[in-house]
Amino acid sequence: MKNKPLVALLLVPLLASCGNAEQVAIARYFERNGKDELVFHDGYKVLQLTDIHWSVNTDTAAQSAYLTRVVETADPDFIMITGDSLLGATMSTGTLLLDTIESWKIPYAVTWGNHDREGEYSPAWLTQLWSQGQYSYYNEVDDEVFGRSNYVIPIIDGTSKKAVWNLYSIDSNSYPASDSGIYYDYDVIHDNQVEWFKQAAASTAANGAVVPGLAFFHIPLFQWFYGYVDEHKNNTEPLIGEVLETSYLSIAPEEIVNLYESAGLTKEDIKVWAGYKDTGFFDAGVTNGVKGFFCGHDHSNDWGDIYTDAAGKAFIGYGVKTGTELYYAHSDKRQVDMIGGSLLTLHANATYSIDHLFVPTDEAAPVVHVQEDVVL
Amino acid sequence: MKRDIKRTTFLILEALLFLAVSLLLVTFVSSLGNWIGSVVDVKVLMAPYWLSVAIAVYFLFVCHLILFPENEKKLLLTYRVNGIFLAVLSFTDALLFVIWVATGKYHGLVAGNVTDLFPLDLLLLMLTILGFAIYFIIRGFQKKPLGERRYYPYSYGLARKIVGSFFRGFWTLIALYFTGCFFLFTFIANYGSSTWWCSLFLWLLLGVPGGLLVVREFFFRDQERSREQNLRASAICLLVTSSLTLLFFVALLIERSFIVEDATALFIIDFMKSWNLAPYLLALIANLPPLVALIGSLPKKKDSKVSESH
Repeated sequence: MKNKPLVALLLVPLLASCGNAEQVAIARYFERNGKDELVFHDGYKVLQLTDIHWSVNTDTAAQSAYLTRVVETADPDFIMITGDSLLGATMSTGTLLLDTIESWKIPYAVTWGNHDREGEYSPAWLTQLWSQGQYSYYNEVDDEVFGRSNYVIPIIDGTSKKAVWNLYSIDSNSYPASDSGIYYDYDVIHDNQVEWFKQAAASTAANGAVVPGLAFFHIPLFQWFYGYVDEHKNNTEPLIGEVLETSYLSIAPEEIVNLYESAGLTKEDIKVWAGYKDTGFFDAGVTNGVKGFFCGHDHSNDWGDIYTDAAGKAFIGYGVKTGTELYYAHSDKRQVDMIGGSLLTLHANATYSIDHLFVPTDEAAPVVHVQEDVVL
Repeated sequence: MKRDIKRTTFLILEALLFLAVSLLLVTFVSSLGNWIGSVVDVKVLMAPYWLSVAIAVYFLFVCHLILFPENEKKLLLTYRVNGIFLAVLSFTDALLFVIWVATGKYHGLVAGNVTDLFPLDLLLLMLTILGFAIYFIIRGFQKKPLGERRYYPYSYGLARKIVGSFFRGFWTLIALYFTGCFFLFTFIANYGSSTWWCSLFLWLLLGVPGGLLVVREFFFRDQERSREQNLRASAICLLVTSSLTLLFFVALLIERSFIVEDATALFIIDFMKSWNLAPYLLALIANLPPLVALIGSLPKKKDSKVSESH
């Protein structure tokens, strides 16, 4: 007790330094690695490309021309690539993809998908690849937060220099070891990533007002199941897109099977290949300003809808699969091959619109737009 | 002495060829896995590439047959028949590469989608194999005697020979794949990973199938050994492989996610299909040959004192 003032004296700078360390740590997730600030203007366009899936089998010249056509059609201010850019690729394939992306001369960022590490290179090499581009805003912080591509890109107001929108890149990881040891599930956004996200989002809040944001990751969340079932229960149509993926019946979690069956659906209707559990990222997101959650992963789905739970509401949905590699679906309803990109147009009042661009491989065929405003 | 040096040189060259082909095979499996899982039909586009890998494997097998011939007649037949087949195949494939480049299917001699120099590197490989094939044909048909050399007569029945040939061929392909993984792992490993010690056991286990082949072909076929010597050698091999397998499974139990974190590139078909089968296949492949050799070397009722190691 006698030493209490002395202890307090020692603790104050220690605690203060801890606070600084925390701030520095969070600030690192916003680093632009020497790149210019992204300056907001009303109608700022973010193009989501996903599941490009270049491999050693890819006709890289043809696919490069296709990707370029998608980007030229969208004419975005920023490009967000949400994982599975590579699968079964070599360093040579990866370098060719980077050359194509860089040739657009448009700022871009990349999240990791479950297949990205399945190539003849080390994870460190892929990190280096995504980091080295002149237009790349990829940022991988050496930290204890699970996964690799966890970072934030603020789009700022040119005058006040404050963030108007935040773009969150989250690594939804790849595969956890399953209980049986024979079959792999898909991984999730881990608890410490959710905690990191909360701190990162809170650090940009001004006077208690959170900055609106969009979260980009690869593997869908459990809310994709919930949203689809809600539509079925309420007999409503999705805001945008369709679910045409093959069913998930072999390894669907029991609670999801029960949920589907309780809504009069069957196991065969489970066509969302989400991570194996809900880690609360949706709830953390909506309470911290996230207005939209965008994933890739299921090539044959481009479904999206407004989802509401006790924590709040936001748009959840898939990006349109980019390119023809591996597999893609044809929508009979819309008479399109479901390939292209998803264009998000952001407004200053925290609203935005979604445009699913279906860009055919045949250059002479017309591009089909399916556009919806997201009103929360 | 001179003959020994020459033979040792050829054996080293064969080992290097084995290594090169094993690396080719890993990329080939990636390519095949992607094709199987894809709706995009790339079989025409990739046909010259796939054929080149098949020819490289075939060339390796032919070289092995030439280095370990059963008798002079078989050696001449190998030179002639396989030489002609190799020549036709490698010439056809080289021609396909040229046509694919000329017609724009491959965008230039250095399109770069498989390796930095693809398809030029494989075109040159096919021309090299064509050169060897022509040499084999000349050697097979020329009147000049083949010279003094050691032959490796087969001492079992025809049925066992046929079954054994298929099994050894199949097993060698798997061993080639895992050997490719073994070498690939050295430069794709997630160095600095907290699970490096788990990966170490996996890495060593990946080297076992190729290692067993080298031990058997290069060190055990040149001299006859007693049943006791074979028993001791196979028991030591089995002890090593089973210990590594045990350590690998202990690592899997303690840190189940280490394959996901460190070795997804090696088991691409597993991860494409969400299976976890390759590690179990590897464990089987690593332990089966020494186990079979051990059982084969156990004393029988009518024990012959000397037997050849197979």
